[in-house]
Amino acid sequence: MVSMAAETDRPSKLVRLRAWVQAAFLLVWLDPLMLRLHNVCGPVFHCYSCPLAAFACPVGVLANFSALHVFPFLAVGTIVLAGALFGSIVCGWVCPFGFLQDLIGKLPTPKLRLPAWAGYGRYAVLGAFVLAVPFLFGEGHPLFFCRLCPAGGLEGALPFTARLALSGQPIVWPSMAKIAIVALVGAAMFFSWRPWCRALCPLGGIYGLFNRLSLVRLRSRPDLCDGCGRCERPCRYGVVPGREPNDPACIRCLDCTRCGAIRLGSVLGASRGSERS
Amino acid sequence: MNDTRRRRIVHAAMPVVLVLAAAGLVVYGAAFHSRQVLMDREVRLPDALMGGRGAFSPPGGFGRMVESIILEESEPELIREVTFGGVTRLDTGETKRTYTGQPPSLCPT
Repeated sequence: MVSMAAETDRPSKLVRLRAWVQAAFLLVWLDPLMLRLHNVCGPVFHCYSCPLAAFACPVGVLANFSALHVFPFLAVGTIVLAGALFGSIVCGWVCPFGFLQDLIGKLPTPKLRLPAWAGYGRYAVLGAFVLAVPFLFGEGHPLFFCRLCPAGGLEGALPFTARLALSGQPIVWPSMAKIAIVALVGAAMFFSWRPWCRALCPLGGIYGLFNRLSLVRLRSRPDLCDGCGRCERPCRYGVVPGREPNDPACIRCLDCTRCGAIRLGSVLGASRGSERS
Repeated sequence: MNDTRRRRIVHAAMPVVLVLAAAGLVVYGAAFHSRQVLMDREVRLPDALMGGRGAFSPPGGFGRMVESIILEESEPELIREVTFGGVTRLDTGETKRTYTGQPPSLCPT
């Protein structure tokens, strides 16, 4: 049984397809058909100010509805639906901002591993900048989430500023806070794996909570595990899949499934007595 | 039924319950949830009210006034509005459109 785990040292076919799946979803989010379905919430972190955004950003909708004191049934429903079905597979395989960080992360720069507690930053951002500040002070406050969001800066503000500059019109600069955050997060992408997702993304924080509740789950088979650490070593997010396969910090890139003892499964599938999920 | 089996059933039922609840939220939000939104609209007054054509003609403002109307906007419409900063909350708690005529093309942030 131990040798069975050792035989699958290479990433599975599915894992090797991840970048292609991310690229295919990127096409969907970039709205090649120019449908501009901005009255529909997408499940991913992608700014609707982007000239090429197909759907509304669920985090932007949560923040704006919080400012209006209206409960966002559609945004919450979309997030819970995606989370309950797939958990943070949405982060690892579908999110365009995660894909951007994955691409930049492939550059051969020294990478810093963020500590596990950094993941709590996501809930601080969610509670403070997405919910509390908008609810208490409205959308005009400088700490309103969309005014700070790096995805909005990269996908909306910078293309808009560039367009103004190229067309010879007077440039309207984004706020200094936004420029600083885009620069900081952009720089961090070169020196850490997915720093935004790991430490600050409020949507990733929510999806992470669903990892233990979602229909699709990672399963650990202790009977196949010889403690070689093959599942743990490729993990860039500090997760120990053998011990906690559905950790909230996991983005479900599925790199750990190269070890036969960790498998992607469904909660509805038959589970063996010794499995952890 | 032993404890392990019961735990396993609860474990399996939880995502199904969540999916159904989420589908319910989406359907309710898309089909039934709406919000009253105040909107300013510019209306042209009938000439008779202004004392006949040409009787009173202030520069640039002849025979026009702004009136507030209440719209019932569905949640998808409200989502579209917030993507370009088209609505705001007044101190009175009401929701109001921030523009008249054509909506702005960009979000204010």
